[in-house]
Amino acid sequence: MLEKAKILKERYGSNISTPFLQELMWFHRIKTDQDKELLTLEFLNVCASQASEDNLFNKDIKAVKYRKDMQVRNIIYNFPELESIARSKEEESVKWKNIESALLNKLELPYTYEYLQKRFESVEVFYNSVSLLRKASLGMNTSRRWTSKFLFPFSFETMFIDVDNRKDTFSMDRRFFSRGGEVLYMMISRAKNAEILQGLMLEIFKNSTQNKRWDSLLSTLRDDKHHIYSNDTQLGFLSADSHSVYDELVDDLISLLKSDIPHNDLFEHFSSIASFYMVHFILTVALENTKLSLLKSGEEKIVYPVELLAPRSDHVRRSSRQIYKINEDLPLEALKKVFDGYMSSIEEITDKEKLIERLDKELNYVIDDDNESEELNLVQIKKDIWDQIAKKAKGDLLAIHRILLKGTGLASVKKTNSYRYLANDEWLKTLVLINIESRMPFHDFVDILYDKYGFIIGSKHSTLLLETYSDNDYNKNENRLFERLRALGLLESKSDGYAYVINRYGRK
Amino acid sequence: MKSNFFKLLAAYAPTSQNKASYDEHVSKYAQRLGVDEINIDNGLFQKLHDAFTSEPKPIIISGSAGDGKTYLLRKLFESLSGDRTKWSKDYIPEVSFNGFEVKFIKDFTEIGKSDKVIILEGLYKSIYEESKELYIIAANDGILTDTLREYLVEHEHFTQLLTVIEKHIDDPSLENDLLLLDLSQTSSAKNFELLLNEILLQVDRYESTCPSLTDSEVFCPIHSNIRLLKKEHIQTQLISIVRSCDLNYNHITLRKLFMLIANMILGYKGEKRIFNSCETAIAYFNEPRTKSDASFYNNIFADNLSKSYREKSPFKELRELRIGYETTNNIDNFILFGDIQTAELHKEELENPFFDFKAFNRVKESYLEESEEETSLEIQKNLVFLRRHLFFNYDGPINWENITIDCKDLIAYAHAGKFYEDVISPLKDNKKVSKHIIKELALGLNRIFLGELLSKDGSDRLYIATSLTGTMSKLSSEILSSIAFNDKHINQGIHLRLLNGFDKEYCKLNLEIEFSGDVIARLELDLHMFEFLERIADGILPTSFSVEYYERVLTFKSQIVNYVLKNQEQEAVFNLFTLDDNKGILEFDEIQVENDYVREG
Repeated sequence: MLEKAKILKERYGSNISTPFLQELMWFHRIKTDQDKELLTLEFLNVCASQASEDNLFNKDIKAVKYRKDMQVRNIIYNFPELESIARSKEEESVKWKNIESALLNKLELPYTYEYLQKRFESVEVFYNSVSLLRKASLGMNTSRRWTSKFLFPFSFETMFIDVDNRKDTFSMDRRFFSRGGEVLYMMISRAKNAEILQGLMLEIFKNSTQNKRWDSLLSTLRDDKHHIYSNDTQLGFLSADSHSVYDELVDDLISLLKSDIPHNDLFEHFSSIASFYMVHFILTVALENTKLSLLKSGEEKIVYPVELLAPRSDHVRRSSRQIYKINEDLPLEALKKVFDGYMSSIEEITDKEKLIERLDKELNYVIDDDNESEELNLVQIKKDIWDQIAKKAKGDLLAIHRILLKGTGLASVKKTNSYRYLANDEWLKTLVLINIESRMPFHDFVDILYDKYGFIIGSKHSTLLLETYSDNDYNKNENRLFERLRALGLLESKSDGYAYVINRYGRK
Repeated sequence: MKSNFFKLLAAYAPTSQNKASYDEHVSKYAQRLGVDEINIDNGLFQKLHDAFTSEPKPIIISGSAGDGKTYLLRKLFESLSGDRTKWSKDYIPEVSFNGFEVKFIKDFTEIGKSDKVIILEGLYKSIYEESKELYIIAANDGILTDTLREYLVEHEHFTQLLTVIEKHIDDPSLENDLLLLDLSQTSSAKNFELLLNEILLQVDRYESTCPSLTDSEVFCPIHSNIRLLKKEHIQTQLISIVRSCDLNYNHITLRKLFMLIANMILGYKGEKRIFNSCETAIAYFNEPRTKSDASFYNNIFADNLSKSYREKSPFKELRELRIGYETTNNIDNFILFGDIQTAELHKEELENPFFDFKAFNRVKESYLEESEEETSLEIQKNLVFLRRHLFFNYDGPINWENITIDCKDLIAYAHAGKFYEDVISPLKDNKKVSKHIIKELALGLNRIFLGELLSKDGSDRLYIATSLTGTMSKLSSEILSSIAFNDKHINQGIHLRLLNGFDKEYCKLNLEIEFSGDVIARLELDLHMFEFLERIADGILPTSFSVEYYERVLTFKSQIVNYVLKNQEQEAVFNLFTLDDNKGILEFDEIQVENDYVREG
């Protein structure tokens, strides 16, 4: 792990001012402003960039050119006056002039807009087209700046990256695209079946006819052929070269993309799956280090007791809340353990210079050595490093558990005051879509949820936990899953014991 | 004759001493009591017998516990062998018939593991290798298919068997390869009707010495219930509510029906919950007690039982009909104030042996004059009871002054009658469903597909609408295509397709969308879905009735959209719409993109 410190330091040393440990164990990085939608959008931006150079999921490519497309975005998201111009009683030609000059004044970039008049039948058609694009955008109801609003990912041609909103530069900004999507991209690139996924992604986002019309509409708004891309940017950093979670993630995404559903419906499911696995990866890696099993068997498996909304508090809710907290703090436990191990490995080093060098090289920790004394206060240093590591982890790595799982539909405070794992309908639908080809006996489905994801629904799996919880409560929980799936039309039950979970869409 | 029938009936009731769980126990107990067993003939045995004797083939009788699988099997064995003694002695009773060795598996669950493989192997051979050994198996379908799946690793050829069994479960009308009679897919309403009448007959036969039968001063709750249950119009209502469960595919097993009827007749809200003789029942009400606590109006919803019963079949399904809780202001006004102007009508419509009007009037007075919580609860209880009375005694609309009181307002499914009479019945008779019903269903679908309150006039075709960014969104912006259902188009439309079961009384209904000659999507049209679409057509908002069924319809829409997207040429056109709020019709706005030029379509 520490050997990667060199790469990390070379590539990102100037950007990262805190000690490294978190990055070395997991990745660089994700922040809490990046919800599941933004995570997936950033990921798709990387894909779009790499696909344009025929390098989709090529794990050796470390740089990326993002599409900025400022001219188009200026028209769609930075032009609230359009409505009043279009509605004014001026002559058509005056309206066009007003549109051009308004747009021209907005940015200090070398764009002009005369071409618009030639490309749109009338100002009204232009206005309707822009309204249509705005309607098909994400984040329109948020207070995000106009440079952080995005078109729905209809295809690789309709992506653009988050930038700051200074009038002249519009440089990449990591507020919302904090590299989580880049990390996700790298996880996927390193999975066993990435190549299969590549084919499916291209089919849907590059060669599909379902959304070509959006590309056409967007290109009529643009006459800037050369300035739409950013310069080469370094991708984020992901420590593990391979991992079973990467493989599982990609296999689920393959199942999703093979589903026979409209392309635009994929995004919601895609982002839920990606978010879940992002968290699952963080927790799995943490557990590999802490080795704190919650199971009687001692198996190192991340488990999530998942409540299906119960009418009142019971053992399922209690265990879910408890294990939620344990899981949430697990990365910190892991950091602590690895950090303590590391620190005790360097305790023996007496040479001051050597110690300073190692801490800098391996942990990116620079000691302000203006002290004349011969000895370093290692206890103080240790405390200082740990404080920084812990503070950072609490700020993003721990909190992302809540942010992403909430988005997935797996974490909620509904009916309580603290978070726990609670599956909502959307997440259940996603699970059915990716785990069932056409149908599956209900009990097999419950087993799969445990085996694949560690979701504990019924007593068959709750009894595997070290702590004892009420079987009856867990049976009722499983029953609620049954009834919920049935109500949603995802389960058919003929007689007691004969029930199938149904994927009504099937696979292509 | 000794009055022992209620003791036998009590054995079926939902109490801890339920003695009637198994076929053999019942026979012995009935013998001991000196009464006949309660059996019904729903015609299934004859049908099964005829099907087998005309063309012998393997039979699987499946269903839930308590559906009477073993009973049917035993009868078939007895009729083929003519021997009543062998059945209970033999582990696997056998009969020779027309050159076949017929083996009867009484209960597949009880069979040892190694024997199970032999049986499944035998079943396989009889289907695929024309062996002369036939199996007739009583099995829970879940256990049977689970077992097959378990053995798949070692016996790969069982895949074929599993597939064929699953196919038969899905489509009970199939009769090739084997005969699968799934008792879960038979009519509970028909069984209920037969069973109720059989029980009433036996009551007359064995329980005729109750003093209440000769002395009108004596109150026997059991016989009061019996008297009501014999009335034709009450039976009609009862059958219709059990049918509502059938139409929602909530099958009630025979054993649960026994339990239900036993509780209806013998139940009371008191310590033992069930009376087992008229003497104890009469003695109980010699004390001052609330008579309605022993009425079938309440017993049918398990008001006399513990909460856990209310959450299980059959009571759970029946309680979901909300009889006693669904009402209108007019109905409640009639109950509370109908006696002022129309005393005679009020008495005629509400009088019943379980109700004490004097007590009711006292509660009513204090309810109207003060707002004590206690009296409010008391009046609620009375209202629930009287609404139930109105529902069960419904025999045509009640005209009260210039108001009409209809029983559809007293149940959660206001359109249940319409569904059965105007949809299911004509389809069963191979007749067409009236156009206005298709139009109503289409209006409901259109309002959900569009996310707009389209008017009746605007609903001239089914609009395949979607949002710009996903098909599951509740609001749409664009029309991708449309389906005519009013004209005589040969290759598109909305069709209602009935699937019959082995039991002709049982059926399933799908709403199918035909497009370019293909059925492109199916919506399971159970009673709940019918009610949902009808209510939306009436003007309610989808989420106010059922979030889940809303989701189902959106999924259905998404399947149709998917078909259109895959099969129609996608041009660079956006066919946007808005709703004219005044007229309730759609207005269209088309944007076309061609060679870097955008114009209005």
